[in-house]
Amino acid sequence: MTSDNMQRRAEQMVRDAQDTICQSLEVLDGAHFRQDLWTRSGGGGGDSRVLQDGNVFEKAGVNTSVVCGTMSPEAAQSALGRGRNLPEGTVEFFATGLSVVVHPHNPMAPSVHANYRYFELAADPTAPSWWFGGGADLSPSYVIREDAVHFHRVHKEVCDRYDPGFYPRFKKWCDDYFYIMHRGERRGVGGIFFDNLNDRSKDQLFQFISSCARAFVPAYVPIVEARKNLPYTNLQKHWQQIRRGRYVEFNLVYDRGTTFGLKTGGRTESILMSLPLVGCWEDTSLPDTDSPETRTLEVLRHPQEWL
Amino acid sequence: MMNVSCTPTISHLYNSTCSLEDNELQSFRARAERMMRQTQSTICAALEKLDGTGFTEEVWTSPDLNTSYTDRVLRNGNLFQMVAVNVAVAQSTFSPETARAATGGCLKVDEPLPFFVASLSLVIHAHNPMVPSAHGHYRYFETGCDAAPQHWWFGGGADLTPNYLFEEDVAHFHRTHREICDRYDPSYYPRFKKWCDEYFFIAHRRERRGVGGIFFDNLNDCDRETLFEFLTECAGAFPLSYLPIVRKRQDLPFTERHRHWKQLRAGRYVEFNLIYDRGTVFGLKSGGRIASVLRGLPQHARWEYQQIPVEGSEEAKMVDVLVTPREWA
Repeated sequence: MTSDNMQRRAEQMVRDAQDTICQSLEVLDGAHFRQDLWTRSGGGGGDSRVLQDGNVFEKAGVNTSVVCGTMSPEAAQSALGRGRNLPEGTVEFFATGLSVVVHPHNPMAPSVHANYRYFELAADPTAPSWWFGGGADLSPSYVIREDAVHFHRVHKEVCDRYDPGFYPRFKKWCDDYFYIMHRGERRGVGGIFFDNLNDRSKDQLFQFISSCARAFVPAYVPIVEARKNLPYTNLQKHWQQIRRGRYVEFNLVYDRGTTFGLKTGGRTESILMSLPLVGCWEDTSLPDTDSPETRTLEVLRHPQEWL
Repeated sequence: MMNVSCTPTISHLYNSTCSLEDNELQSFRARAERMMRQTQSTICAALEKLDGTGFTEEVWTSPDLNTSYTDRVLRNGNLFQMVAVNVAVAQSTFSPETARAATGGCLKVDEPLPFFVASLSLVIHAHNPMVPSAHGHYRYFETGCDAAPQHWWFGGGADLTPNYLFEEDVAHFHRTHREICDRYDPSYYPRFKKWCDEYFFIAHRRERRGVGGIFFDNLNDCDRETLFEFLTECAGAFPLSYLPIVRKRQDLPFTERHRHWKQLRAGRYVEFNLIYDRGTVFGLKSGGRIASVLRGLPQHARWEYQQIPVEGSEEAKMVDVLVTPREWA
């Protein structure tokens, strides 16, 4: 579609990041990812890697995909989401992305999610639209302040290297995006989130998301290392599963990637790889006031400034 | 269990909302509500007797006083993990958007429209993986003023969600519902059975949530009294259709493998409810009472990457039926 080689560079970037992330998580866990290569009938395919029932991780999924082909004007409009006028008929598109979801066993070790992607839409073949999107966010069952601070700080440092306006904007965007409206709470303690990013040169933005993707390991791995062997009770495990039930609620009800993917015939197994191994719904009453659980809820209801 | 005979009906509380007085029409709302409450009591009593554990009742009224929920919940019983038998009565006003969303696009209005709904819904999840989950819902809907309804209809149905296939159980469940349907209209069962298979379709999995039963909505093609009787009979038949199955399976032995499979099936149940179920999605997005809206979810659900049952296994036999629905009665 375009004459620059961004498609190839973006694809290479997500593949490299996938390898690096899988290696670090394997070192931490001791178990190995299972690789599953798949092709998409409309064009392209993906590389899904899953580590299930490991030593540290209950479930970890690191996916990359490169898909291209044509989409309906409605799907294109929905992907573009900026009210541009599209031509009649189908639209050519290209998308490549990395998505990471990790759910540890230990309730003191937070879940994490990250996603980085590059998108092209040839609504007008002479001037295709392109943009970058992505972000990373942390979902603890028990908020440990220094962990949230560390995660935010690593991402802020990356953001600040490109634009001092990025972190405040993307931090807020993240809090807004991961809102479970019907619960009045966020999925986690946030991080950064951005979409439709194309307000500077393609090369600059590519460097930015490459740096973000490289920040995943230093932002997350030290937290798990510090928490993976903390003692915990059955009650804490139970609370983790309740929180994971909320994670499921967010993904199935609000997450645009999930709902859009499922409704447009995406690969179900790869899309739902993000769900935790176990989610619990027990409408029992909340833990006592001023318990670690209620303090966590308090933070999820009222996002904090961590830095 | 709490005595609810003195609970005032919400329809009575709202007698003053319309200027016209027409006792005959007003009493229909009250009768519908009373039927839901009576059936709630009958069903709870039957389940309580079987389980040996009592229900607790939670009554909740929305801040605008337009909706009242009477939820009866049995948690961690001897047989049942969770049972919720809920009555909701609402008398409020639809915006054009909510009218569309609540009725799946059937109701298109240009301006705010008063409505009334009385509904009974129930969900049952058992401990033993050999005992199927069951769900039922029955409701009466009316738009317009109490005294001058513009439009009314009934909706409802019951469906069974087993983890393992016992053909005789499925046949019994369908037969019980078919017998009622046939007494009203021979076309009901075939239509409502198919509607049920279609409604509980998890498109992204290409399988149904369970083995179906009956499902109907916007039913108003016959006189109101007859349809009311039909709905009453359907709701009243729920225990007959389900409890004999529970009795037959409640003591079957099971292993970790069966429990594991049950949790995976519960994951599909969650997927259906959160993504496709109109009532749930509408409830979540319209600020309904979350505890009531999400009470139907199973307690423990599991998601594994590409979990495909071994060919020829009991689990695979179950999935076959969910992928390709059969005729049962």
